[in-house]
Amino acid sequence: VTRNNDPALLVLASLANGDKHGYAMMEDIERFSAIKLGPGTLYGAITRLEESGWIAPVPSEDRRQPYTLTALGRKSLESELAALDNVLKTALRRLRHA
Amino acid sequence: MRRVLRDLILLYPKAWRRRYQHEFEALLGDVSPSWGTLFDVLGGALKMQMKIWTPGKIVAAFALTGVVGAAVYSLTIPNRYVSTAVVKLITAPQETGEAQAQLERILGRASLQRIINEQDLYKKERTREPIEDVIQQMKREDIRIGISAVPPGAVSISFTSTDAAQAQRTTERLTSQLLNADVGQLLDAANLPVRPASPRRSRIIIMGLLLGVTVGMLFALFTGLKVWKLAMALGAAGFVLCAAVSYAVPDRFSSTAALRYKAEDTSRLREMTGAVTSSESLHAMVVKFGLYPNDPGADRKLSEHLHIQEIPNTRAITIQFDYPDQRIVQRVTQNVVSLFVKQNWNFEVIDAPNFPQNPYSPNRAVIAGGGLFLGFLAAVALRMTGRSGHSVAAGV
Repeated sequence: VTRNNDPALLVLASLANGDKHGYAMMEDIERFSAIKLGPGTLYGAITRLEESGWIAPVPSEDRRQPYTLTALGRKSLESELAALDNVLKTALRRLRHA
Repeated sequence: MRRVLRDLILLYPKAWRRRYQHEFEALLGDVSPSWGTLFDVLGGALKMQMKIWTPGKIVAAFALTGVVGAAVYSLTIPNRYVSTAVVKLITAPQETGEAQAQLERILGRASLQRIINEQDLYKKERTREPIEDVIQQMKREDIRIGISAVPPGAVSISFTSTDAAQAQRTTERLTSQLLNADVGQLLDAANLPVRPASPRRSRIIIMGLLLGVTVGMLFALFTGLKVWKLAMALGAAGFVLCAAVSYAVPDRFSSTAALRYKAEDTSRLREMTGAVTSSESLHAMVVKFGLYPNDPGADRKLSEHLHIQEIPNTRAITIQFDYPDQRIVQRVTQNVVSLFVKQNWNFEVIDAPNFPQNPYSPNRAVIAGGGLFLGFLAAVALRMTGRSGHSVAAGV
């Protein structure tokens, strides 16, 4: 479902520290990654992630719909981040020895 | 803008709207509207639609895009009008030399430069290119002097321009030089073209439609079979490989000339052609121009690549030769023309051998495109035979 720098990965990362609605996710993602997701792109990712069972809507009275990370989503995010971490560490190590 | 954004939600699939419309509207109410946001929402709607489209809908959408794109493109091409006049050359033996000289004078540098200045042609080109190049362009692309089959001995003179009246004036000016020299008789005056000869917009739109349908079918096929990555990889590999192979194939150039037989009785034409293409004559040309070096079958190859053909009902023949060297190709054609003219066989040159600017073969774009297509086919074949383990990782 996700690829490096994919909007879906950014959404998962944003939900990792708590439930958020769409606009809160957009602001949070821009803050931590400097990537400004558009509403169409964000909801494309939300649709994919919900269909895959990685996120789920949280009951709310507000028109703004918050989402939460599911157990499957958390596991998938951890595995994605581990892969990314491996890439990051390897690249840094190689840069230091170059 | 905010209202337009909300209206764009209607472009999303109905099922998607049932689930997400209210929260998406709430989000659009929070964001600051901009052109970027508008295109992002449009793109999102398109992606969602394509997820649920049937192959038929995908092909139809691509076909529509192809038609609209081709129509818009065709409107950017200026109309070009062709005006034509027909002149019957006087064929009395003592006057044919003068007629030929006048035809050559029409296409001469001084004559064309005078017409360019008088008619104020090629305004833009003259500001950025030397006049020699402009004259070459005029000769190569816009002036056509052709042999008319009916009546015999008539020539058609055409000029093409983006301005219909200018096309007519220039054709009249070109024709008047023949008429003023009393070597021709006007059969059909230069017409004022009402409809443009090009671009053929209906043809461009049909091409756009066919391209759209082809791309749409490939898109639907790759999406259905989930072979996008493999198809792109094999397509690119096929494209590069075939492009590389096409560059290994030597260029071939072609030069053509046209002669007219001045005598009424054409029964000896075949005999004369036979003499020019006799084995002694061909061998002499092979030696003179060093054709097909180190090839024991050089004479035979020359006979295969040299084409002399009669044009029915015109008493005219065309001479065409193709070879990998653009200078030699013109010199050999000129040599054949000389063989006909110098023998006192009553021939006159209507169209001198041209210097080919570009090779006629190989067509590298077609070869590379063929490689791309074969790559696509290979990907589909691999997928269908189950030999590919590829799948779309993010295809949800």
